[in-house]
Amino acid sequence: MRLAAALGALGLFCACGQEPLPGSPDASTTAATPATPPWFVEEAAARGLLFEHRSGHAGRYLFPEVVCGGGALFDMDEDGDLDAYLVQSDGVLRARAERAPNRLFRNAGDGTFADASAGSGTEDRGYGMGAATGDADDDGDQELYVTNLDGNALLRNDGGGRFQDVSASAGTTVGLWSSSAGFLDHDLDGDLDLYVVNYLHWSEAFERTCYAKPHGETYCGPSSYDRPAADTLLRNDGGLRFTDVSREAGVAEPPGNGLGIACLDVDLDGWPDVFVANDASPNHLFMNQRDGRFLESSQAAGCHADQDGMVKAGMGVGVGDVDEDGDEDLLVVNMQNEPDSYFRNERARFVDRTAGTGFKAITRPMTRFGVGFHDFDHDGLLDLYEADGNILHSYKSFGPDPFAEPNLLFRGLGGGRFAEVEPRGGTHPLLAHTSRAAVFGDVDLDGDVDILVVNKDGPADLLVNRAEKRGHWLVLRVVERGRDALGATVEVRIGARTLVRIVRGAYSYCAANDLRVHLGLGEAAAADEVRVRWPGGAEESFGALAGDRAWTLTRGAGAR
Amino acid sequence: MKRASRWLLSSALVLACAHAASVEFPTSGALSPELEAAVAAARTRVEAEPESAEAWLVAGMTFEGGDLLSQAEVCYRRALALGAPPQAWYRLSVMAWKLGDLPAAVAAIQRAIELVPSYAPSHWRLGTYLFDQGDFPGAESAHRRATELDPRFVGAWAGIALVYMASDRSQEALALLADLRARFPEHAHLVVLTRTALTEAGRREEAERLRVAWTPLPPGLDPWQAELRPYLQKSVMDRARELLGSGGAAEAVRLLEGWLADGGGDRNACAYLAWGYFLLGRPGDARATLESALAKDPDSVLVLGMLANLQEASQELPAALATCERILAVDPRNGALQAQRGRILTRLKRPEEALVALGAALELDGRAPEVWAEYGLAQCALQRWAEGLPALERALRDGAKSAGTRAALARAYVETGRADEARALLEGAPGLARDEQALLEELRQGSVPR
Repeated sequence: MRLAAALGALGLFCACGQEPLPGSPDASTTAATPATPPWFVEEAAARGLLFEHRSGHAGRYLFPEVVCGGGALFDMDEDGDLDAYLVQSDGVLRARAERAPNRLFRNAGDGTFADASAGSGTEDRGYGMGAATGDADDDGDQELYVTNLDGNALLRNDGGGRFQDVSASAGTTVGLWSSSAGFLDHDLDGDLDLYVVNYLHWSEAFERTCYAKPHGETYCGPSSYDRPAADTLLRNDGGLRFTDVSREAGVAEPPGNGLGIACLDVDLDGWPDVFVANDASPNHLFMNQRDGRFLESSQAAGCHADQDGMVKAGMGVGVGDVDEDGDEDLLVVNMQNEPDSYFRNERARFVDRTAGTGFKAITRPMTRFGVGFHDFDHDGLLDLYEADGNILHSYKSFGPDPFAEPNLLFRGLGGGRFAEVEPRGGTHPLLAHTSRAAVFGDVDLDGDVDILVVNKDGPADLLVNRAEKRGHWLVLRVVERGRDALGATVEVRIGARTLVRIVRGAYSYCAANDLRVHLGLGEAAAADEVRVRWPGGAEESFGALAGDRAWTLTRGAGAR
Repeated sequence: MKRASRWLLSSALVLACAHAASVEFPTSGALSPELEAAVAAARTRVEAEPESAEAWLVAGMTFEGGDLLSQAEVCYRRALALGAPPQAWYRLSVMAWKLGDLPAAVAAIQRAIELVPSYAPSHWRLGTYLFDQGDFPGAESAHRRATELDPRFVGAWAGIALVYMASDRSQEALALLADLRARFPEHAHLVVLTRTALTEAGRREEAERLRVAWTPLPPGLDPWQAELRPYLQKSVMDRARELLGSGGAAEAVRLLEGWLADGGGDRNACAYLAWGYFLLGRPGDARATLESALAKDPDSVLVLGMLANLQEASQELPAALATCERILAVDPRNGALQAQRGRILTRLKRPEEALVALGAALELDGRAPEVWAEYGLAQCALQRWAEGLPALERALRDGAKSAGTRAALARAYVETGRADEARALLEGAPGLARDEQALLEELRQGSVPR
């Protein structure tokens, strides 16, 4: 048997006769039709999502160019489908008016898009990083918050695809280099506050020149600047006015090179906590003290660094109850030569259990940014998608872009183990770009999760889910006070298993994701019971729900 | 059977590539000048001796040293097809591992082990690969074999501890780490691992007491890995920076002068060259270099920062202050410069302004314990003991080494009616300075109000 396996492997190794010669593109870019059908098909152009990101790089290596590229999938016009918002960057040193603006795309309801930017009020021209969405004024539609290098923008949703920039009056500009952001009701007063992750204090005057193998001059890393920025917490005071409460809330210190955010309830106390992935500085875990304050607890909780104690380049954050024990685990993705860190949550204490997941070896050569756990094939197990693109240069060449790398797709096997899906990245042909944000949501309303990938200096990819399905599905919109109940916990019982999902948009990297909860049910045609634990702790049962359809769970409509 | 499988795997790996066409090298334009020269030399040798395993091995190490891993991998395979020594299998395994191809890495290192079973680092590598694969029993077994062959191969011992932790066997990990720390006290990394194991075991307070900076763990004696060292590429700037920090200013200056004369370099290079001149006692050359750089780019914070450093080190405090202010005008969020400005203002006996500057520095970046110390000392200099006390406490907690910090904190305790804490601080402290000893004596005699 082992000999047979070895002979099988012989076939595999013989393939290296076609290995790319040094300096040539990787063979996998031109590989023949894969043995298994790809899980995703790239259809951005075919579906009208025409967006080309531009960092504005023009010879001189300016640090903000290397980490930009974000976007949002959200229902801008309350018509039940996901519209798309893509954040442009276009020239660090260029005047705002000279930059290309962000773009808004309206979904026709079938996953095809039309550019709806003109006159929408969403054409912000900051040097863009990412986006967050949430109903900040409690009127039932979602505002857009755009993070920039040079001042963030809060775009109030006036309905019908019209927005107005209210940053100045709202007090949400921040004025630092912000990366990811997320709406959350941190003080459970019923309105949505805003957590803004800031990267570092950068200015052109402080820019420097760095060198790296093998090409010489390139982008610096954050350690070259050593000027990490503190995060910002903006408390919603009503009337779309916010107050910066970072210092009194305890998030102004310590500073970190923040890039990724996940709002989650680490200790299941009903109060939202915040995890921030920092780049070359320890990650932060801000535990909610239930009085408007947070306590930075990453060291005590064991998620500031990996198991080896190494502080890595934290980029994006994935979150999900991977081990199905009722609390959510974290996945922090890092740069080349630094494998992912999977932090298993043991009720507010994290243990790094990456070695058992199957992520370590495969992620090592890549630099990963956008990331999300979703059940793409409906087998009832969380899968994982990672969007990759280097910041130095890639170990293998994937065409003329020296930073380009293929993305990665893993299938959940259960028990916290994963296996890479072939073809690599779930697409054929292989897509290799300098990917940044991966935004997750069901854009064609067919019950599975699609992915919008924002590529730095390249066209956005829309990966439409075509995975061979292994079971049924359920989509839940969870609503209280007429808006998505950010932070609510959904428990779905299927036989002896209970799947836990949280209503959230902020995870991955510089991304605002679909707020609806998506679940694969495996062979079960229905959930035996669906319960919602609302922010603050009140629980409500919505009974058994049939699968293969979307439901709206409204607070008060279930049984307490 | 197992042996046959391995043989087949590794042979296949080589045979498949043995007839590869001649390797094309990357175009030199894409490489740094240093690497381009090294690759050109390796290429010349390969072209002269295309059937030489050693020439291909050297080419592989040249590529590997320049982080061109897939190119290195091809060269190592070619070298093995031509009869390269066992260490080529070792190198090939490292390449495959770094490129994310774990099955190939395992196969290659197993072949290396078959050829030289007594080489401990190969077993450690195998343990590392199997650990990454999630094969914890296999990883533990391989690491154990490494430690049997070389009991001082600490990387393999640490590997066993990691296996324990990954298998939720934190008590065994802690016992092993305690033993290792006693046997290898020079490796601070073992303390880091202990801290992780304590946290995982839920012993947070004990973990908290083990504050130690992360340091890499040199795994152990590994002559095959050492063969790569001469091929590791470093840029002129990196080499110059290292030299400046390690007493090699003359060599750094030689490197940077040559680089700039050849048309290379940038404003970084000018700033570091100026610092090199200063270290060599050539302040005139240092100034001239900076002025020349500033003529091209008057707002370069790096060059201006170096100028401020030179001025401060030369005791030209008003000039240094002016330079700091010039920098802050273009880069107001520069916490390090605010701290430097505060320090200079303190030395200029302008304590109120110093306090404002140091406070602004801490607002921007509160990580540096020395800035907390300076802030606390500045408060105490103005007799603002209550304001200075928390800053000094934090400075000491975070490891500030500034002279007078502990004494000032003790005095602040006394002045705020906490003489017992002052006494406790000093009695437990090693190497008391004269003023600290005097204060402690006063406290013991009760001549200080409690």
